[in-house]
Amino acid sequence: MSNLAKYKKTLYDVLAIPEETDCSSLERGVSQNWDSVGHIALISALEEAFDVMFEIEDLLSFKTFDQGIEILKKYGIMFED
Amino acid sequence: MALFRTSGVEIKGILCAVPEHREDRTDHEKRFDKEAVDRVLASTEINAIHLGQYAGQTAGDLGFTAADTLLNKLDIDRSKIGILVFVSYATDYRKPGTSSVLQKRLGLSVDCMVTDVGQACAGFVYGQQIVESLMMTSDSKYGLLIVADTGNRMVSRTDHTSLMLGDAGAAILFGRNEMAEHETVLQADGFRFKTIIVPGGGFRDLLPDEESVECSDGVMRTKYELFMDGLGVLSFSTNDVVDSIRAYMTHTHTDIEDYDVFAFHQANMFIIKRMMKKLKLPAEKVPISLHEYGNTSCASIPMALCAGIDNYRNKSEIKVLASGFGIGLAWGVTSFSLNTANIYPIIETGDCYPEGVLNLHEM
Repeated sequence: MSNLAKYKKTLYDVLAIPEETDCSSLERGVSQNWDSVGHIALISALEEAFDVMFEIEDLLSFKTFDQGIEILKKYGIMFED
Repeated sequence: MALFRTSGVEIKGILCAVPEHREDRTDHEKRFDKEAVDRVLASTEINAIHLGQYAGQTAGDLGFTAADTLLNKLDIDRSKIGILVFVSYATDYRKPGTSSVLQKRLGLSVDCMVTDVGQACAGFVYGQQIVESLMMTSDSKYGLLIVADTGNRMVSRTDHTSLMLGDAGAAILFGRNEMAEHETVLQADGFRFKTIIVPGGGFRDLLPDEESVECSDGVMRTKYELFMDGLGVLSFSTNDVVDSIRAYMTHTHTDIEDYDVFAFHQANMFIIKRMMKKLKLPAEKVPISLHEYGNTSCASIPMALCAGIDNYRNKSEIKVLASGFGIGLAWGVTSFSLNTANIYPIIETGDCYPEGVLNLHEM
């Protein structure tokens, strides 16, 4: 599974949203289940999926689908274009 | 760094009590959908909590049971207890303090000073320092610290936090030991007082209406219910608290190898795992009580010690570093030695104090 697919699957699973959802529109505090509890659950799942531990600043700044990708790239996770 | 040094006083015993009534996923799914419960349990690893409200149990009741049981087990002459400090926000009455009620219930003498201290998750470390300081300036043979909370009662039933907070009471008996020396760091940041708050019911806003309002986190709550900035707490726990633990070890010229146990406030496993990773702590040194009991506020450090004590009984004495952090914001770090024979398993209780509900006609 590609890293992009793994990232999307984690979002779908944790946020309990249909896989046909347009991920680019996902936003913390707006999208279903992406509240503070959902955010912690999402961070936990992403850290486990990609074997990283987010710095607190990155954890707090992660609010959209695209931001998540940029943050994961900082931890050496490669995403195919 | 606010550094406190005490000497000549040590912990003689610890015992914790929780309500018999237990709730887990089965109960949680009656209020929240399964996916929401899955998310909370996965990240917090809080699988069950014990709640006293269904048996009419207060924090004072849980503290009483813990203390009464501990004093009996240690066969303590209660007339020799000269200090009683009760730490909680969940007091039995507006006035007097719950420590007064506990003095009566425990049969302590009039020569025992009693006081309540308003603290939550930092309450064990703050309370320990207060009792030890009082002991140093008195001739009392024993001091008793009771830390207890029933925080779940102040949480909206629609708030996921209600799946995390458990009720508990802990009793810690202090006595004399000429050789004992302790250093404690206590810190606070009132600039962040709104991070964890129950905004109504205090004298600032004594009788607000009970209207439920949607807050910034999407939860409907009244002013009588707890608001917690979850990400603010996460940032605080994994930055300020970790920094204070590192600073404490630097100041005391100690490192991980000098401690057998790291007893942390049991907020949730997401926070504890991050603290462990940042401090490079091996799992076997970090006892956990939250899986079965949740976040038990000021009682959580003694709860962790009591829950994990069987892992350490191969040693007659263990060296503990403890860190509590939470409402205020307040946090503290301390270290002490414990005789493992006097750390008791957590007990469950259905006991309460129904005569404490007063009838004005009879007053």
